[in-house]
Amino acid sequence: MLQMSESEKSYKRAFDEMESFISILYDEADPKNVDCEQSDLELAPMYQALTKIGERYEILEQIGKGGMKEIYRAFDLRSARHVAMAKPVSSLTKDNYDAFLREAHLTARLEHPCIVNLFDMGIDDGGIPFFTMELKKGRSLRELIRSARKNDSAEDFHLRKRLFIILRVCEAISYAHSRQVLHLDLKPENIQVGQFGEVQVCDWGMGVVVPRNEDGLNDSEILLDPDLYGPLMLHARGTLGYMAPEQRDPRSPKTIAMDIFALGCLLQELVTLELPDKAIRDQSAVDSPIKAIIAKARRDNPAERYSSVEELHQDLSRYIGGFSTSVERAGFLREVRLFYFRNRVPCLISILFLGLMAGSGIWFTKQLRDEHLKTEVAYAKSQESLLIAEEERSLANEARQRAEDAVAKHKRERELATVLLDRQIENSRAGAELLLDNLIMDNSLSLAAVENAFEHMDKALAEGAPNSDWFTAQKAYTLFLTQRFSEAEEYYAISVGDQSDLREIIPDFEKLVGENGILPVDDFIRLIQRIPATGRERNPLIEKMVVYDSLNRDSQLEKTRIIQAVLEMSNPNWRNQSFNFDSVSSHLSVSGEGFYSFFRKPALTGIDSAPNLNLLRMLNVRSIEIRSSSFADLAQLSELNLHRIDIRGTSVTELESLANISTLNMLVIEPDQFTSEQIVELPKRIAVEKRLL
Amino acid sequence: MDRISDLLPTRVSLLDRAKSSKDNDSWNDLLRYYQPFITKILVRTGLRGTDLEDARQRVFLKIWNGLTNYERDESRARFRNWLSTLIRNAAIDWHKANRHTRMGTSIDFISEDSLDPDEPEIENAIESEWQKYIVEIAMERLKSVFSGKAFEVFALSLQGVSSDEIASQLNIRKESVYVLRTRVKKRLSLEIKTIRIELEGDASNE
Repeated sequence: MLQMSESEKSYKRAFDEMESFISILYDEADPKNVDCEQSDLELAPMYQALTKIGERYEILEQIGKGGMKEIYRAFDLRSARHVAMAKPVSSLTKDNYDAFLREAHLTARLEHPCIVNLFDMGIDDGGIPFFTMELKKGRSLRELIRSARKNDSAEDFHLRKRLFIILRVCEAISYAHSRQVLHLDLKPENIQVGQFGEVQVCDWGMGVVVPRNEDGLNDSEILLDPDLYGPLMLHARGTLGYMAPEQRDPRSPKTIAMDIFALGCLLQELVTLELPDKAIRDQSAVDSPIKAIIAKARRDNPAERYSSVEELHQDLSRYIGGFSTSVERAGFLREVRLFYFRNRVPCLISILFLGLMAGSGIWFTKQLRDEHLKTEVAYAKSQESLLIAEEERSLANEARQRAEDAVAKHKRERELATVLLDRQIENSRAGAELLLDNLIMDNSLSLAAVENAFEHMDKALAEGAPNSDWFTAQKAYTLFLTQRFSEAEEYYAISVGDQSDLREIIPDFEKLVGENGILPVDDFIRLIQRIPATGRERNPLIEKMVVYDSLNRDSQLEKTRIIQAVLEMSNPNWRNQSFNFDSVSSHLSVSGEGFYSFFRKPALTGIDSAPNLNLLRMLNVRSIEIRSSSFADLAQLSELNLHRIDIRGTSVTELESLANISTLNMLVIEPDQFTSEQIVELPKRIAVEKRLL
Repeated sequence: MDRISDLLPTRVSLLDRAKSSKDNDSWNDLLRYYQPFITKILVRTGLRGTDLEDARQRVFLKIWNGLTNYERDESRARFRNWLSTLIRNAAIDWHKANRHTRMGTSIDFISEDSLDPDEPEIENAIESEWQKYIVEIAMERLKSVFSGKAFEVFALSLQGVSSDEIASQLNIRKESVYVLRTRVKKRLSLEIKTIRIELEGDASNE
């Protein structure tokens, strides 16, 4: 025992210090004494904790909510860490659980440092499915952008940092694409940035798996097909502003070009710190190569976008590294110079020729300008004649204002209504009304909106809401709206509210409802013509009734007649009416003096807060021909997916709003109807045909 | 069939096994544990060298013979009493036989007078020595579980040193002091109990 190790000394010291307590220790450890073996928890807390875990997760707080799921911060007792736990929203039933679990399965397919990790999937004691994911400390990109914008100090969130974030996102998406998975809902809200700059793409709930080849999907992939999961998937489809134009049509096949568009929007928002709801313009603060990258990623035509995320990534990293990008012009000029030196003689000849051509071009242009001056004189004259129709014009302007308001409101309220649809706000009158307004907002949601409104009201009634009279009358109103007149009468009998006007006309129509649950077309038209005659302002109701009716009516001809009838009401001076819709070519021709609006009449009393949208959407019009000198406002057509517009014989003066119709590729006008500047400013995809009337 | 025995590596105590089977392994195990203790006591009564070896052999022999007759009954400390009697008698025998040759005394020498069967001093000395021995074994066994520092924390806390002071004295975090204090106490207590059952026999089994 020459040397005692330090630890041996330590044991020795401890023992010596314990000396006087030994008999206490000894006696306490009497085998007869049961107390001393009490809590193993303190001896091996981690092991003991594991053996005692009944419930693995302890849910702590809700940290997010989507259309289908609620996200909680939970503590995983087994692995002693915090996780993000997703549970279906309470309104989901067993039938929807697979739609909910789909996201977990999609996420499980992806293993990438920049994609959120799936930890676990399971079913809780109540039979409710859940899944857990990695929970990173950090903030969503949306919050980062917001605070960067607020502070105006890009210091801790400078451009370089932001560009690196988008590179990470590109890598994640590129990887996902290699695994046949599309995200389809990329936006700053779905990107988490950790404390150390780690980037994670989350929320794959809208993602889809695209077939690898002709053979299509394998069995497990088929289960991931969103089409299997009904209107829920339609409900949550993309976010305006980040959604590629072709994605707005829920039936269009999903492609990587949609993700690339969203990446372009993301890049734009990160660079400008502004919402990317418009294509990038001349924001001087943004470097032109970046602008070019954004523009290429955001092309309206999917075929013109980058063909892969990898390409976008390459261009971005080239830019960050200080090289020229593939979309920059610098490289092109260099190419020209090289080309010239390679082919000097042919080039010189060409240049000579070009010079001659340019000379004659200038002469031609001068001639054209003179011609144009003449046109302008003629135009001034026609302006004069337009003043005659002053009264109708002002009406038209009003209609235009309404249309614009309606579109803005539509966007705002749709968001609100969707939130309400999610939350099922208890006993809220506004809730019931907004749910019903969803009928108008979105065709894909309409019937579900009515169902939801009924559910909401039934719940309020069952729970004995304080304003149950209002809910009873509102239910009757909704039943009336859906042409379930006899049932409506039952509720009116309890409480008629402010709707005695509607109740009065029920006896005239309730017997006429056909087996398909709706009135024959003539009776329906009679009904909607009758409603305002009852003395109350019911125009918003009429629109809802028409939408609901159209969704349940098969005959295009009948639908056309009904819409014509509604338009007759909002265009009281419409003479020599003609309103023909050819459902095969989706072509609509409208003519007659005094026609100026495609919208229902506004409510006269108070503020018309109900949505009011172009009624032609119910017919799915692709081509329209308008012949009415009272029609002046093209903005009314903005929400339609039109391919061809013929406005000869109208008083339209502004063409700007046509740029909003992304599907439009043909415009027919009279030779002198617009100036050449106006025509030049139109997007290139729109071909202009000048033809005499 | 109580919970204590569930925690033990073997359910039958070493003593019981040695007693019932008298097979070599159990006997050797028992000796390995008792030998240091017996030696220690005999040294304290003044025995050295070959004398010590002789006395020890005698004690072992008596244990070997007596084990079969030994029955634990009224007192759980009975085995220890019996053992200390054996040791004491061995020491007395030797002292009686060697009175003339005795040399000097050790510091904590147990006086010849105290070897008187009626004097409780030797009894007490043996008892306290046994307790110390058991705790020492327990600590030895727990060296793989706790560091020396952990035991120091515990020892200091036994002496009533405050956690803050322990933390600064041993240069560890205060939170760790709390944890170690209770954890060492529990675990040590459990180990002492286990050893007691093994070496003293489990009275609660009867």
